[in-house]
Amino acid sequence: MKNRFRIFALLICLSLLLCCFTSCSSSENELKVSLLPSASDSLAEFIKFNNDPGLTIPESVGSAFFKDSVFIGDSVTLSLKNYVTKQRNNNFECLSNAEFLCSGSMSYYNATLDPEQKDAVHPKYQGKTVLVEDGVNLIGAKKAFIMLGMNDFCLFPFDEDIENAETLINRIIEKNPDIQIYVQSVTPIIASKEHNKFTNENVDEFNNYLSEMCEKNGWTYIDINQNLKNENNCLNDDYCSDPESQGIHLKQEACEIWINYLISLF
Amino acid sequence: MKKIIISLSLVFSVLFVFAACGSETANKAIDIHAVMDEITSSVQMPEETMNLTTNDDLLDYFGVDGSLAKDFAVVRDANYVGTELAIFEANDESSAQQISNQLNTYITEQIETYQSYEPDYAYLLQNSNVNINGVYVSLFVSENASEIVNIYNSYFN
Repeated sequence: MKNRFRIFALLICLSLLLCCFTSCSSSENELKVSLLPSASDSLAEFIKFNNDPGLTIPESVGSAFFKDSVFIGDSVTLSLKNYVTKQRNNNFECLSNAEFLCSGSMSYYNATLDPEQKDAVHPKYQGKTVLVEDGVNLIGAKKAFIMLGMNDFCLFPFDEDIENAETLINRIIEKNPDIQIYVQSVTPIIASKEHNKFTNENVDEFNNYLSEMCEKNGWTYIDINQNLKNENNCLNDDYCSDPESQGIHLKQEACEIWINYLISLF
Repeated sequence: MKKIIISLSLVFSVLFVFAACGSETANKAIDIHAVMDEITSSVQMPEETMNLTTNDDLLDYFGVDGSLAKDFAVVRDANYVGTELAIFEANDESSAQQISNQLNTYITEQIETYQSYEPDYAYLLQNSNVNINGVYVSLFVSENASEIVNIYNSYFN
């Protein structure tokens, strides 16, 4: 009787241990599946994994001009950054290796404020908040494409806005003496969102000031608005991603027009 | 005496098995890409979306150190700001905690930036929260956050 009990108990122990090891090994198998090349792998690793020498990145004509460029801007440029990131993540070359320094609500004025000051807005680079001029230096950019002003032109007289623009751009040049400056126009507003000073007429006038500033300082001015406006001099409604709120942000389709226009210039 | 030893062995074996099963439940392996696919196909998404697929993207958009994660699935609004869905499979539970801390910092900073500028987005951020489940970390910023959380949680049941 005693022997039977011992054998019975030992058998139960063995079965339970076996059961335990089986469940552990099945968990390991599940883990192995998720260790296969994933979205976080680089394109090079992906190509290597697929062993497909024919898989290449399509080149855009003219895009090489944007090598070592930085795009500086507010939330409008954020839409462009999203477009470029999406293209690159789908294995399409887009604006060469251009990088972005943008932040929602950034302006020529608040980007020049000390980071500790109230109202200061600065972009992030590699997860850290930086002054625009320092960010350009960290990137090692040779060309800066700036689009700011949407958050300036309603706040102060245009002369003051231009002084702020010159202050910011001169700080960028001081820290990055070899940089080439390209100032892009402020983009238009959809008709239904024009109010008080926030009008397309004022956008145009502010852009004239930006153009004159560039001429005076030897910087390049780029009017990107011609392909974004409708016959009423407003942002084409079809290109606007937020017609119910601010009426200024661009859909991906409009970003494509913007990029194609830039490429056509150079 | 032998009976006592055998009985104790039995009790310990049973405890060992249950402990192993318990820990497996807490660290249940899920396919985060399958979860994200189900979420994006079940819930109304923005007109245009984009996936973040590189560690540079993670650092750039969320301030998250991608080396803390074995894998991640991130889908966000491509046009501007709004919907942001992120699931991470961290290297271990300590990495999961670090990812969670970085995401919470991101949320706080985004609210500060967009509160007066884009209040609808700030509201979504305020109503989102970062969840840790074993080595998995999630953040769902969406008008349909509660529906998304239900789908996500169903994978752990």
